[in-house]
Amino acid sequence: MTTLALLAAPVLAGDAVSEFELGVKTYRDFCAHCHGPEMVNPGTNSYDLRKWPTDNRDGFVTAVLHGRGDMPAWGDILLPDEVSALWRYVATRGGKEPFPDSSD
Amino acid sequence: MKLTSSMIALSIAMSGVAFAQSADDLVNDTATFGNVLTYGMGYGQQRFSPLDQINADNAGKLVPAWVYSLDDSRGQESFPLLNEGVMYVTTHKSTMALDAKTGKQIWKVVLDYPAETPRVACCGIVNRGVALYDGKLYRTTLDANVIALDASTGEEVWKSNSIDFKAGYSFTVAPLIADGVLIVGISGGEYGIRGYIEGYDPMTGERLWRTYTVPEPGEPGSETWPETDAWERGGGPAWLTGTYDPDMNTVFWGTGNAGPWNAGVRPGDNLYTTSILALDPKTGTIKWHYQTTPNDPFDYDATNELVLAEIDDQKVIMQANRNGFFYVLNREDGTLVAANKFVDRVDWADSIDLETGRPNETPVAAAARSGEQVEFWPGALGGKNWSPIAYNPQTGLVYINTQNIGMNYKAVEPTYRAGVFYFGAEFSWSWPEGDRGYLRAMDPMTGDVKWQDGSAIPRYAGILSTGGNLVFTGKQSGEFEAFNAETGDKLYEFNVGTGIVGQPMTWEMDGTQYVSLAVGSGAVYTLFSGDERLAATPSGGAVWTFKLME
Repeated sequence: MTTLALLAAPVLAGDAVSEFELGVKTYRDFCAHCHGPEMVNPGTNSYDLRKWPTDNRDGFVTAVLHGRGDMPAWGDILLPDEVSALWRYVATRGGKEPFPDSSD
Repeated sequence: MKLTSSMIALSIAMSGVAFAQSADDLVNDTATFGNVLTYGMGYGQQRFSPLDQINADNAGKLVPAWVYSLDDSRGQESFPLLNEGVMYVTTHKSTMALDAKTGKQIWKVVLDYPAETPRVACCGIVNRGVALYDGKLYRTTLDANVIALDASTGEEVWKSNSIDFKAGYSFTVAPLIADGVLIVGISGGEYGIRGYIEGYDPMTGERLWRTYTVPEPGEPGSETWPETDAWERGGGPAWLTGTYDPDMNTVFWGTGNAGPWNAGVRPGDNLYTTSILALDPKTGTIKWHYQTTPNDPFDYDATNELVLAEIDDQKVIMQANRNGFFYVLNREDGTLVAANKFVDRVDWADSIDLETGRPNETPVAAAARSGEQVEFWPGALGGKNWSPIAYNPQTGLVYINTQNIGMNYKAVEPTYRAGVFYFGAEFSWSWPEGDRGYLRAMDPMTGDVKWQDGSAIPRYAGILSTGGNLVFTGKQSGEFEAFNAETGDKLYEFNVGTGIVGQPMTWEMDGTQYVSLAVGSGAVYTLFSGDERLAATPSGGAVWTFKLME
């Protein structure tokens, strides 16, 4: 499941690499069972994260911490580093696209 | 009617008070076609009805009688019960009573649970239905409560909390009433739980017993665990409803995978995970056990339904196990009668030893435990997942929605964190060319496949078989289906507009036979497989009821 993501990782530098790798792991442990392996899902029962606007970090973080619609809240269990890493994973479309400048 | 000692004892205990849905009514459910009082169409969960007004000659003339919106976008796996013209059905967040003839709502009660709750459901936000007894409905909730409702109003009678859900424990199970005890099993095998089955007093909600599926040090079975604290997070969930033999006064309940998936950290057989348990309903005492996948590294739950039948004058239990073998056990002592593969590719074991009951494993099993990268079939989704089988005593066949899906897997060091996945493994799916599942009609004793119907996207619905020589099931792409039980010819198909992962049942009113089921996309495959072919099948729960065109 991680092969593709790890191949993409070398285009990132230093801390970004470790944050991305944490994002891969965190996504797998917390998100994949509803949002699908590598964010691939039919988008019918859970949001298709590949469509999340990459300029909306705040909305993403709010949804993760407090829940959104059918999505559960994770604020009491995810660490701040993990939330940031998840954003890097999602905003780079799983390492397939560059991290957007406007989001950090 | 044949009275058993337990029934007599119970009626004495009740001091002659007349109750609706008495213990006798539950025992006799398979003979009263106007009511469906037990999960799975009878205590033995054969999902068979002798009703034959709808049959192989006329099934092409089925039409919808009514549809009721469940107002919910989650997967719908609830088994509808029916009593005196009222149908009872659940979602994860609501309980409803419907006029069975029209589908009109009589009452609806909405549950409230904390916003964190759904995260402890590994594999779909679902509920599998109610139990009915003594004028009350019983159900479980995702946040690990058991509740009783007044069947006539929906008003809550009592509510008992089983455990703190935040540690990864949840309920999706439809309760079982056996010998006057309300029995439930916990979910959470992927979250480092210590699994259990519980008995409650249906009148008061008082917990009568809890039988852990993983013993603590010093208890019987603890010798199959290492001398570490592994047992505290050893898994063994029990998330599907057990069956009940009133004559033996014994409940049969399956348990799930050991935790974490990485078996290397828990050397030993790890009783009573991946096991079939025979329990005393009054005390929860284990009468016997049979373990299907000792030291399981594959998530090969034995939670799947334990169908009771009499075959060749022998009282048996049948189970299509996640591990790819179809087990037939003598239910009086738990000895193995037959075990045949029910899917084409089973990599982890060549066969099951009929003398010892243990698997003859292949090198794949040892490699998986040692941390090597392996591919194995069936994968963790199982040769069959949750979708319940049917047994038709007239054809002598079992009907199974099988899966043809493998897994790439590597055990890694597990990290425990309360309420978070505790796999200790990295994995991805391995897909076949072509069909990912088959509806199979199979001889339970030999494993011979009489017919099959392939499906590109595997079926996850339950199966119903009837005296009309029919098999009913459905597809995740939305088709409600009827097949000829002998030949496998498809006789009817109707698009309900959303995926089907629920459980068809049948009943009769005023001389008309009906087939009902809850529909609605969701469950583990939709969420976890990444199968984008389902993008055109929207979610949206509903109950559909069919009958013959007039």
